[in-house]
Amino acid sequence: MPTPLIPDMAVFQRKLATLPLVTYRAGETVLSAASKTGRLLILKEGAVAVVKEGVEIARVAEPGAVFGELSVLLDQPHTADVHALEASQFHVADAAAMLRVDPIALLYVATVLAQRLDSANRGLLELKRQVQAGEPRSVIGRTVEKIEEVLGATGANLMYAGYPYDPFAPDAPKS
Amino acid sequence: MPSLIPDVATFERRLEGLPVVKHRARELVLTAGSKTGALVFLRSGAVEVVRDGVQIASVNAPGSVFGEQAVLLDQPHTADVRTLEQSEFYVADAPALLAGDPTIAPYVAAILARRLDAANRWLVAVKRQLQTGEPPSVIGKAIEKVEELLSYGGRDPTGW
Repeated sequence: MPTPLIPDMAVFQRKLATLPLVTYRAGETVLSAASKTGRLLILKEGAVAVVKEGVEIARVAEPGAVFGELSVLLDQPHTADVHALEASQFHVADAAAMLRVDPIALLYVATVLAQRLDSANRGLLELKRQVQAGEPRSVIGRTVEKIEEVLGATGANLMYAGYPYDPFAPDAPKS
Repeated sequence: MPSLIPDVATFERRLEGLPVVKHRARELVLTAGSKTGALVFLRSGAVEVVRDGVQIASVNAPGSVFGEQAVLLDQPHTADVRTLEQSEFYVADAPALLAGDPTIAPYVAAILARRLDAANRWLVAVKRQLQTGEPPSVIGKAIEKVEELLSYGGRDPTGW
């Protein structure tokens, strides 16, 4: 997806190609909640699950998905586990070093965050409407979970239009 | 690992290099639906963030930033920002600033990250309230907190 500040995503992709690669086998832990690795991982190929407090909140299989960005920007431990669902390969960067010297990488991460906030915000409007209309708690609970997925799932990426799936986009199917 | 986020003094020095705009009380600083391309930092005073006629936040912390989502996502502003009293702002051309500024860009990224993280924590509270059968009025208050966190720029992420 082109963004106003990153006009040429191919440049970013070429930069990624210069980073070291690391491979995980199915079932291996890529990032552990509560650990602080200082690493930024960008999915090259494969598939992972994002797990928070024992509950899977998202599955991610799209190349370009970013992991570890909140931890480095907030200087705090990772908040979720990321497990490989199959053999998966990542570009690996020292997060602080990369974001400090590479404005495009920083903008890529900032735009991913802005997109997640924007999607969550639209979900929240729906949630407010449901609470005000007195909808059943099961319905409200499902909306909360969808917002949680948007907010909590690391791994959003900008390289492929339509991903991450935005459950609150105006044209998203109703569940 | 040295923090990615600039220290307060560095950030303040950087802001001081930007043009200052003054608004009287009750003036619109940013208008929902408009696309200004501006990144606005509160220098002094106080503002409210209003969406669909409802105030979702009032902000008086210097360094609070507005307009960053619109420029990152290339979309119009989603809320009005209106002064509550006479206020001053540093105003920057957002694309130019974010594309290469080593102080402002990490600051904005960290603010986005902090909002996301804080909203997530409050959402967990909403979930818990739903599970324990709290009344809608209580749940509504927690939802408003999430909305506030999702909707406005906030201030320095290092705790300044």
